[in-house]
Amino acid sequence: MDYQTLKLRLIGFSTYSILLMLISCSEDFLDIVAEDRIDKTSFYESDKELVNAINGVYAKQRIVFNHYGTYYLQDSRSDNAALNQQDQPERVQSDVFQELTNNQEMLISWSQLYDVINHANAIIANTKNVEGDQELVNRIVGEAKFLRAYTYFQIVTTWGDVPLRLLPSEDFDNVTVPTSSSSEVYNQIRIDLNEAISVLPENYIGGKGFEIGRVTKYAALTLLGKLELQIGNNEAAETALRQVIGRYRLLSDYADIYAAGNNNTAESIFEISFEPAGNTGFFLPNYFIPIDETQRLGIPAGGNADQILQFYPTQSLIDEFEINDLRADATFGIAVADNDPYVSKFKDLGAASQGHDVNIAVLRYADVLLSLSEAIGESSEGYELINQVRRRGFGFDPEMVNESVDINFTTPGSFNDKLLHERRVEFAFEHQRWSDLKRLLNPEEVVQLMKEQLFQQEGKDFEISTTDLLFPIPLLEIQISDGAVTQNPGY
Amino acid sequence: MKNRYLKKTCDLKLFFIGTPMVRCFLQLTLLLTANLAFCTELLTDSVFTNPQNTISGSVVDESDIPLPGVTILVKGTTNGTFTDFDGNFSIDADSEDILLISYIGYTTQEILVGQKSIINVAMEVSSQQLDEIVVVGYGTQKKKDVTGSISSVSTENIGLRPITSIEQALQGAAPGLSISQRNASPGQTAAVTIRGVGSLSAGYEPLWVVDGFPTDQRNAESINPSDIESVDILKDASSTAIYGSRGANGVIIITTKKAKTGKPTMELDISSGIAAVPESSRLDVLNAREYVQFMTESYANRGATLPVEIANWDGITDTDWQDLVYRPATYSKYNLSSYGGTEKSNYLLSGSYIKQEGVVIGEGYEKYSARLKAESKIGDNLTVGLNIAPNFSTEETSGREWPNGPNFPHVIAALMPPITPVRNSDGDYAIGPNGMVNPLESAENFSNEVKRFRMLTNAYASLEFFDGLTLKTSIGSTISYDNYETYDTPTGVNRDVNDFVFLNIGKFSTIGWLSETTLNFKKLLGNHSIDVVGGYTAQEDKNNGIWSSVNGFDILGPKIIGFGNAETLNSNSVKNESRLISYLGRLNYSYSDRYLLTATFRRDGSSRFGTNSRFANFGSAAIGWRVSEESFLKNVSFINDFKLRASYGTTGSNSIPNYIAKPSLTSIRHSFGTDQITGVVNSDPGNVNLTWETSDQLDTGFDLTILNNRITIVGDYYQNTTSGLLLNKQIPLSSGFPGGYLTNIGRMRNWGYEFSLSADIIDNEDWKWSLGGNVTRNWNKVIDLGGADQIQKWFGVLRHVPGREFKEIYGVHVIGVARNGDGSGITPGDLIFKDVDGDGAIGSFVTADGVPIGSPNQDWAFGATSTLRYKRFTLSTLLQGQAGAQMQDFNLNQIANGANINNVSKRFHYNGRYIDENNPGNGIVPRAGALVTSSAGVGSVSSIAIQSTDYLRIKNISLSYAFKNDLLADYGINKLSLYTSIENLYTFTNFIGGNPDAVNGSIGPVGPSRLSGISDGREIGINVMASQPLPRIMTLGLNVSF
Repeated sequence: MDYQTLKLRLIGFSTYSILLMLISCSEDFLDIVAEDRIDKTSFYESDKELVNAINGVYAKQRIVFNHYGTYYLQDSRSDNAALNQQDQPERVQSDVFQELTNNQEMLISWSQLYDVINHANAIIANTKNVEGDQELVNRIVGEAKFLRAYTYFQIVTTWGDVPLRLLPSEDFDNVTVPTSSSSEVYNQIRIDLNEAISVLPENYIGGKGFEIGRVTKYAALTLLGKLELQIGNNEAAETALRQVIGRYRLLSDYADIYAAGNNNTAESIFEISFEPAGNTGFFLPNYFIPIDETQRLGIPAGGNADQILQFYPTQSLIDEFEINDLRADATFGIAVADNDPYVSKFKDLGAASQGHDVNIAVLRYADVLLSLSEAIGESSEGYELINQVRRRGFGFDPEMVNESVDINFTTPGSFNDKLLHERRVEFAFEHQRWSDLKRLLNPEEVVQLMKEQLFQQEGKDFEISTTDLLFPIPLLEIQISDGAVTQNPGY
Repeated sequence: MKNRYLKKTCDLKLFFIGTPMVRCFLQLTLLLTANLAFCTELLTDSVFTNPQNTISGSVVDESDIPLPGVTILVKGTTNGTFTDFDGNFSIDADSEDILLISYIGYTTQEILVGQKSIINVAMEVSSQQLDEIVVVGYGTQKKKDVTGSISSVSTENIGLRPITSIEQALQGAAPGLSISQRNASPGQTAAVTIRGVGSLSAGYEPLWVVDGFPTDQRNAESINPSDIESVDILKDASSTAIYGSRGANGVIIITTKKAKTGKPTMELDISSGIAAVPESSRLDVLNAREYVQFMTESYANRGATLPVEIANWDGITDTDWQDLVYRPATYSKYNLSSYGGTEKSNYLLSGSYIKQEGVVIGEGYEKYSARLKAESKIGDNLTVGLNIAPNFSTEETSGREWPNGPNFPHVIAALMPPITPVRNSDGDYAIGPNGMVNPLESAENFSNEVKRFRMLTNAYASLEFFDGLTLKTSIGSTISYDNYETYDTPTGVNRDVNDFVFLNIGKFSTIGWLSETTLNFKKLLGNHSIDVVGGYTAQEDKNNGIWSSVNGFDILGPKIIGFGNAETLNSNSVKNESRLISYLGRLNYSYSDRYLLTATFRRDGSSRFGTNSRFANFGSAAIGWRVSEESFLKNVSFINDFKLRASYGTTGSNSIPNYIAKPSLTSIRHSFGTDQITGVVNSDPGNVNLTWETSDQLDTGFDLTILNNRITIVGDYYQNTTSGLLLNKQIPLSSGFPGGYLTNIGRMRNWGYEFSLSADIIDNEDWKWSLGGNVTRNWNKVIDLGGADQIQKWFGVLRHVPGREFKEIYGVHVIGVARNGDGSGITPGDLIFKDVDGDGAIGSFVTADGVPIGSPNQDWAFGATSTLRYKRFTLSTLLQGQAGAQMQDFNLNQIANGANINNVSKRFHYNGRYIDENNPGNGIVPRAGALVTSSAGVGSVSSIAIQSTDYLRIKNISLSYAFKNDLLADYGINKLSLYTSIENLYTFTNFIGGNPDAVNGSIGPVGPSRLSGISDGREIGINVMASQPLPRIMTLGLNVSF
């Protein structure tokens, strides 16, 4: 073989081999395993992974309740709380029924709520074969169904007819879901709750994956009772709620419900858990309390300096509390500096930069008692249930008849009025009031009440109509859906 | 069969197996080396030699000083040598041979050997720009052969200027290049764009290439500016397509000084000086008397009670807070470099130390850098070399934008009422009204320190097989370590609350490597000249980091996480990597020096993109016509060179965060009672089809040199259309992904003209005067947003709207100030807003009454230089400026601050304001307090706070004196010069505040709008805090070499 041939062969061979190698190696080279995150396509495959997934749903729900939007949707919309109208219009318009359909704050609340739904759907609609403890897996699916039901209950009572999503969003080209009627949504909530009731335990033993504070069967029954009340099935409500009676008890001191550091008390059926030590503290009280007051009280977290985002109790709420009702002091405070009332219910005197150590008991036994009273209607038992709550509110033993605070058939006012009053003072700032008004009054009454309230609060008239009882669906949702999602009447 | 064999070798378990790529690369190198060794042997054998005469001689420069390192080559052969330290050489040559004598910067001479045995040559400085070498991607080219749009920046004066990084030197230096110093604290990164912002959401910064190593701006700015030999700005597809997926935003190539052949030389450069903030560039706040007057009116106009602090002003206290936070600051620079070598090997070693104190108390910057370059020739054909450049810098600021910011002393100083004294009678720092923190206390208690270590290393070998065919392979690495430390102790009303003591420590590293192999072939065949390069590169970057923060220190002093309250500990880590694999090729062809053709190709694969679309091809084609070489122009004596160019091509931008294409989950914390648990939730929605933004670029231009090479004019028209913009496609909010998912939709375009001119006006023995100038006009348009009618940024203050400019500023239009009886129905002295939709009511900027009121895009950018030499004195001047851009300045309007008692700008709020019908003012400035009221309502964003950012700046003036050589020789000194330099001498502008280039910080109320991790995230067009003025720096320096 001469040099020339050898040279050509060598060059030929090398070129060929280099090219081959480059091609065979390059695909491998670009496949990087991302080590800072979890590959979604290979998750939801074991019981342990599902525990993490359901924990994520609880965390997403906590985010909803750590955002002031939850107040826009309930207490500030109602006659309980007012927002400083000097603040940015987007933040305060909903308080005076002036929000536009493209209001950014409403959009955030809507998105956060549906974020919970999407995460719950990923567990419920998981089609993978999940390895591990099947009983645990079923329980987790039950928890997800409860959390989905709870969230849809918030959504449907706020917006009415909404998209009913039951599958996780994966194929982004095909992700639009049209509006379903509110009755379809209520129906789905009932289905989810009944399935949850059949798999959820009565309580938890504690330990990893079995922490006390997860959703129980009684939480699902309580919510089912509230759902049936909402849609007028009082008998069904009664059936559900009666199963919870006796399983919990009222704390003797009302203020203990929201005392800092109290977790999962004997009254609490389901609560949104905040824990500063885990960097998951409750931040909204920072906005509620004026800074001069936090300084006076020595709350290291500080308070609201600029009066923006400030959410304060209305005079009508303050007036609603009867003399000697201990719940007043546990609900609001009066700032020493300028005599202004502020929401003190959730304050934690030790709160620092990680927020307040206070949980929100979104389902608690007092609600079971009052809801059951509402379900069975005006009756001796109905009054007794209200009275148990009243007695505790005034500092008495709930079980002991007490002439000084008990109410009955002869107390002035309708049974509805009495229920509304009791619910208002018992659950102020607990995300109940707006729904209560809409459920217990007819639409025209709500409109009239709110007109009077806003005149008292702002000193001028505001246009309100019965269509304002539902919030507008965020405009963006409607635009993107190309009309598949429809706007509520009046917007 | 071969395929299987290769698969096997690929999987061989080498002892230092890392990634599959390392294995592949090693295989490749082994094969290549074996192959090369073989070929070399063959070639060496085939070289024919015949006996010749020995010619000797010497080479001197224009002043008869011997020139070492001059190349002497026998034309048409590889037979060559270099002159030694004394300029002498000897070479074997025939009488028919022609010697080519060349040296960079001098005209190449051709000398027929003839019967001479001694040849002495005097070299002449090349006035021919055409012989200049331009650095292009993966090679060099003669300027005359370039078909693309490339600007080479003179680095002559860089060493004289008191700057800390190269970006500062590039401001105004080249057409098409825009540099904004957004944060004037020393050591901060400037924003650099080439031919406009070419992306809505992904990175828009150019690619920086340092000595052939594609890297980022941080690495480029870490270089000691005095080490830089040349900077070439690649602007069109013809020049950038060779960088494929990273070329779309232009490329800046930095070449550091090379080792030189010759006797060992040492060069020392020392300069030091002082920096200060000129009075004219501070914010024009009110003094105490004016302040009290203004506030009294403001509260009265609003029917509010005057705060007691103002009502009870003692009539004496008048604190000039800005005077207290600004200070004269020192600047110093020490450079020492040493170089030398023989024709076989040479080296360069340099070290430098730069220290710049901040003009704001508590700020400063220090940089230590070193560089080693060594190159050695082994045998006749093989050259090996090594570059190592480590550097270490420290930045200190006495505040930050987040958290609890902006708390920079100069920001607070601009807001703090002048009626507040510096200290109370008890000696403590006084606290302003509403608990405003004293800026001096803030400076003492907030510290932020960033330490950066950077090291760029590159080792290469190049083998010349035979004349014209060269194989080059190189391996490089980049190492960066950043240490962040923030330590706050409480101030103001929280002074004694130790719960607020805050410590944050972060450590982040990037380690990357790059392997490149290129094969280059150059040949002149008659009238055909070809230059082909082909290559293969692979690059990897790994990012790692960890940070911890803690609050609540009972003991002050120790900056250790463990001293804090463990309950508040917050910590996390960062880990990701990216890889890029590329094949590249370029052909340069010219026919009879007249017709030029360049074709470029690159295929890139990036790990950042979706599995379905990782690879893409990029390319460009360009033609050039040297009209001046045509017979009809050849005899036109005043035209020295005239070239027409045109190029078209496609480049890309892969500036997006790693892994964003992968659907993924991340962890989230939660608790049940006191049980802390971990959950898993969605993070990036992912998109398997995600790919590059693609830029189609057209460029046409000309290069004209006339009048005996004294005037050169370069002009270009360009049009860059970016398509497949990386934008979040909105999907229903109820999907759980309210931000949508990142995909390639939308198009935008930048187009414009660039001109540059350089002229030697006077050029004789005593006098030389050169002028240079450049101007760029850029237009910008968003064409399509994937169907969306707009994209809002920053609450909707900034919007991208198809058919309009990128990121326009929206707001309510102000007509003027209301007067009594003008029919507006507005309270006299308040602003009248325009009812654009005619619905009888004024809505806020998000309603139909919100209209475009400004644009943050500069229309014009310009720079001008003048260099005047008289005998041994040289005076150089640099001017630079911009026009056509505006900013929404919330700092002036003061609405971002909530409180109404802040001090205000005199020009914006006080002078010419409406007081009453007898003193109606200038009709522009409303009555005191009107802005407080209106900014809480529909006037929150209005045209009142639109500021023009036009300016013209005398960026630098330097004067140097070079001592005569013969005076110095006795002391062993080769060269000695003294210089003085003034940076940022004066800025002509109507802008109120310190720095027209300032923009809002990266963490605004709604977060950065750009994809995080890629850009500095700053929001062009918005300002929310007082900007720090650019300091005026004056230095004296000395440069000596021996």
